[in-house]
This record gives sequence, C-alpha cells and structure tokens, in this order.
Amino acid sequence: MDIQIVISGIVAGSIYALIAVCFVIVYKATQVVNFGQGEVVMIGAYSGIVFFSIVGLSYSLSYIMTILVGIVLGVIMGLICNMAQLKFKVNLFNMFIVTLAIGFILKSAVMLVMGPNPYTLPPIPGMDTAPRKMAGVFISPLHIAIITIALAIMVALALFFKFTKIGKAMRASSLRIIAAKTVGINVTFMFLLIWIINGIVGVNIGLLLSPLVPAETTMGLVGIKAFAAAIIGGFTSIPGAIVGGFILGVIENLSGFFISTAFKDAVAFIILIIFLLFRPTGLFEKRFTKRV
Amino acid sequence: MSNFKKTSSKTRFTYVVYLLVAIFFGTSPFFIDAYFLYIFNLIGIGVILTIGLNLVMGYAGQISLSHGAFFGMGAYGTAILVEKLGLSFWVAWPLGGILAAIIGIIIGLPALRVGGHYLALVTLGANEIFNLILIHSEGLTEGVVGLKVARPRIGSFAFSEDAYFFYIVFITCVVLIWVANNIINSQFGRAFNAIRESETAAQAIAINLYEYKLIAFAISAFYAGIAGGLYGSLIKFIDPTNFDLFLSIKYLAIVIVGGLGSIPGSLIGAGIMTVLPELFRAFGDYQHLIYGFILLIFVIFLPRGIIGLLSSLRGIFGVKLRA
Repeated sequence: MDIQIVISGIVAGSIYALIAVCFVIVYKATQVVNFGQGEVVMIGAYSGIVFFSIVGLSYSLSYIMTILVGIVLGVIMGLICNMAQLKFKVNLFNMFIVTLAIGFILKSAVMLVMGPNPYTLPPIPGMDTAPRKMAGVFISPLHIAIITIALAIMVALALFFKFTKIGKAMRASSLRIIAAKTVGINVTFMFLLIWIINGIVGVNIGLLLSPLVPAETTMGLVGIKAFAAAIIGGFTSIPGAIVGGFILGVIENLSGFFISTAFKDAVAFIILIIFLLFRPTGLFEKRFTKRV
Repeated sequence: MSNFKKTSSKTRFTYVVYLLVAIFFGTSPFFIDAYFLYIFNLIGIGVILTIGLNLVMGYAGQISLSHGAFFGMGAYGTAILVEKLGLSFWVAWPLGGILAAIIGIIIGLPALRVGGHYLALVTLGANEIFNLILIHSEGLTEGVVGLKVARPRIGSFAFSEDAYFFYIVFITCVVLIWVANNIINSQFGRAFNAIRESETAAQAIAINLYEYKLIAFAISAFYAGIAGGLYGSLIKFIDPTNFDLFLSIKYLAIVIVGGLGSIPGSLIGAGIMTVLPELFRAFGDYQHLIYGFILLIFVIFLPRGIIGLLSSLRGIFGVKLRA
C-alpha cells in the first residue's frame, strides 16, 4: 500500500518541482527571490475556474484565456520589479519585500472578488479519471497527465535556458548587468521576458494543481513550500530544483501517512530548517560563496 | 552616526518631542473618550511590537516574518499561564515575553546562519507552523474556538476599564522605548549597525555575527511577546486568526512606513497605521489590499519611510529628527 503513497507524493512533487524551477529561473535571471510565486499559481487556478465554470467558456478557450491572464500578470510583475530593481535601485533585501507585497496584493484582491470559499476545477470533459491498475499499483490518468505535463514544461524550460540565444542572454544579464549591457543585451527586456515566462508557467501550474486541491486564497502556501524544494536543490540549478521537488513531495506524503496529516504542511519547513542547518548549499552544490 | 553626539540640539529636540508626547498620552485618560482610549491602547501595543521588529530589521538588518508568532506566543503564553495554571498576570506576562524570546532563539538558531531570503522564508514558515500548532493543540489553546483572557488585577482592583489598562500599556511602552534607546546606544546597538552595513566588515572587526543576530532576534521576540500579552488582555479574547501571517506582514509594512532604524519612526508608523484602519472602517474589506499597496509603494519609492521624508524636509523646519 505504501507505494501508493509514494506515487501521490510524486504527483505532488511534480508540482513542487515545477514551482521550484520557476523560483530558480527568476532568481538566475534577475537575482530576485520571488515571494509572490505561490500567488501566481493561485491566480492560474482561479482563472481556470472563472473562465470554465463561471463564464462558461470551452475548455480550450478557457486555457487560452488563462494563459493571457498569465502573460498580463507577468507583464505587471515584470514592470513593477524592473522599475524597482533597475530604475529605483531597490536592493535585493527590499526586492523580496516587493515581491511579497505583490503576492499579498494578489491574494487580498482574489479574496475580495471570490470570497473565502474554495472552488474546484472540474476535470477535462471526456477524460476518464478513474484509477487504473498499472504494474500492480492504482494510478489515475489525471495523475499521469499532471506528471507528464509538468515534466515537459520543466524540460522545455531547461533546454530554453541552456541552448537558445535568449536563454543565454538572460543568464548573461544575471551574471553582471553592466557587462551584459556592453555586449548589447537589452537587460530590461530580458528581465521583463523572464517575468512573463514565469507568469505563463505559473498559471499553468495553477491549472495542474486545481484538480488536486481546491482553489483557495491560501493556496499560495504551496509556493512557499516549493521554496524548500528549491533550497534542497541548491537554488541555482534547474535539475536540482526538480529533484528537490520530488523529494519534498514524497517525504511530505509519507510523513502525512506515518506521522500526522495535521502537521503535513509543516514538513516542508522542517526539511528546510534541517537543510539550512546542515547543508545550506543544497544537495548538489559544494561550496557556499557570497558576493561581497 | 548621530548616535554618538549625545547632547546635540537635535537630540534635545527629540527629547522634548518625547516629553510632550508622553505628557499628552499620560494624561489622556482624563479627557479622552472610551473609544479613543481603546485606540490608544492599540497604538501603545503596536509601538512596542514595531520597536521590537525595528531592532531586528532596521538596526541589525535581518528580516523577520514571524513576529505574528512571537506576538501570539506572548498572548497565548500569558493567557494559558493565567487561565490554566492560575498564575498571576504580573508573573505570567513577563514569562510570556520570555517564552516568545525562547521561540525567537529556536527559530533564529537555524535561520540566522544564512540570513537574507532564507531568513525570510524560515520565519514565514515558522509563523505557519506556529499557527498550525495553535489550531491543533486544543488541550492548551482551545484550537479555533479561541481563549478567553481576563484583565489583570492588583489585589481586588481589576484593570477592567480601558482607561486603567492604558496606564499599564503606557508605562510599558515608555520603559521599553527607553530600553530600546539604550540598546541602540550601547555596544549591542553599534554591533547591530555594523552588521547591517556590512557583514564582512563587521566580522573583520571581531563582531560575532551569529551571536549578535541571535541577541537582536531574541530581544525583538521579547518585545513582541510583551506586546502580545498586553493585546490578549486588552481584547479579552484570542484565537489563532489574530496571529497569522497578515500580522507579520502588517508590522513589516508599519516598520518600513515609519522608517527603518528609527525609534521616532516606529512611533509615527505604529500611530498612523493603527489610526488609519479605524478612520476607514467602511473599507474594512479592503484593509489587506491597502496594506499590500502601502508596503509596495513605500519599499520602492520611500524606503526610508516617513522619518526619512521628514529628515529630507529639515531645511524647511530647521530641525532634523534622528533618522
């Protein structure tokens, strides 16, 4: 029976991994730790529900609308963060207060519009979500779909950063803004672009997550937990974040089963604290260096 | 470093301002109606919490998102010690503050090793865990139902009126402001400043970063705990929603709005941000949203807060507040 728990841990883990990857790409490109990530995910979930269940659009049309919401959100966050970081030279200590404030505003706004009651996104019409027995374990096609889509997005992001010219330009801007400017990279645009990518991926995560857990305004907590996953992976490596996400998902589910479900939400923070104590650089990185 | 010039005219000016404010608040129960006294009580409690948070954020330069938990630890600690163990408020209340300081040290031990966004995250997580514990340990805290808290009493005299209670808040507030001022002008305060300006430089002059950060965190948590004990007693009823993340973010906003690293700033910030929501009661639902926007606007455009704004206006008034 335990393998069943591991599998649902992997499903949750794929979501954590994806959010952790978002943290890493934004951090790698802009040096900003985005505390509003969980709220972007929440907006994704709510948009899907609003367009599909409340407005009554078709599934594909709702998806397109949600992506548009993600782009708009990305542009807004990008413009605010660019203004703060590049124009007003807000230091990195205050930059995550900026992102925290943005997340808090999003959360409060959704609370005002949608109220505190949870909503659920119905599964894709015609999709058979009944669990099937595969290789001795029961697994739902929905879960397989979630894992597959999450993995596909992660691989696409990793490849984008590694191999495309824009990805390279983004990595260059993160290393040294002035040097990137001298070789002709439009840093402001690169930063904006990364926020837009972050917005698009973020709303997708929300859509993936909403069949698993009901959409609530407190949903952003998932983003904070995924932060722990990013730290397990070392915070600067995309593969690290992916591994960290899966580790977190599985451990969290196992502890929910063996210890207590009431404190399941606390597991991520306990793992985080353990890592900060013994391995602050994550599982894979060797040395902890700090820029002076 | 204006801190070294003890008897300069601007310091004297600050003391005069303090004195006037103290006289006004000290005599206010005689001429202010009950509603405003309740607000004054809230301001006093807010000031204690804000100054505590400012010690850690403005002086030592370490972020904390767990002051909601420290505040709650003070409130619940005091309430449980009084209601369940039958201790006197006057014993339970400082113990509540000490419990909060202990929680602060427990959280700070792992988190302060790294600082920066890790600290923000761990403290945020600690606040969530604290809330989970409050909700799930029904035996002690009554869970989501909440706890009734009695007003303190001396012998047969109970501080049941807000006017009487205000004197407890007021005296605590004055004492803790004085203590904070002394801390800032002591070896600790200078070490905190050094750490905030450059950790590497502070280390180079033999300041034990970890130790001083922990001290700052513990003092700050103690302030929050003391404020929490008063708060529970003031509103007579506490439940876990009083001490969630919103409180931490609210006070983060208050410290930044008032002015990081400024005690007068904390007074102004706590005053304004307690009175404003009361003035705009009709917009109650928008309160969270407004706090979010205030935080965002101040952190980008006015990172030195109101006190920074005032000190840049010094040419107009000819005086400079210590910012």
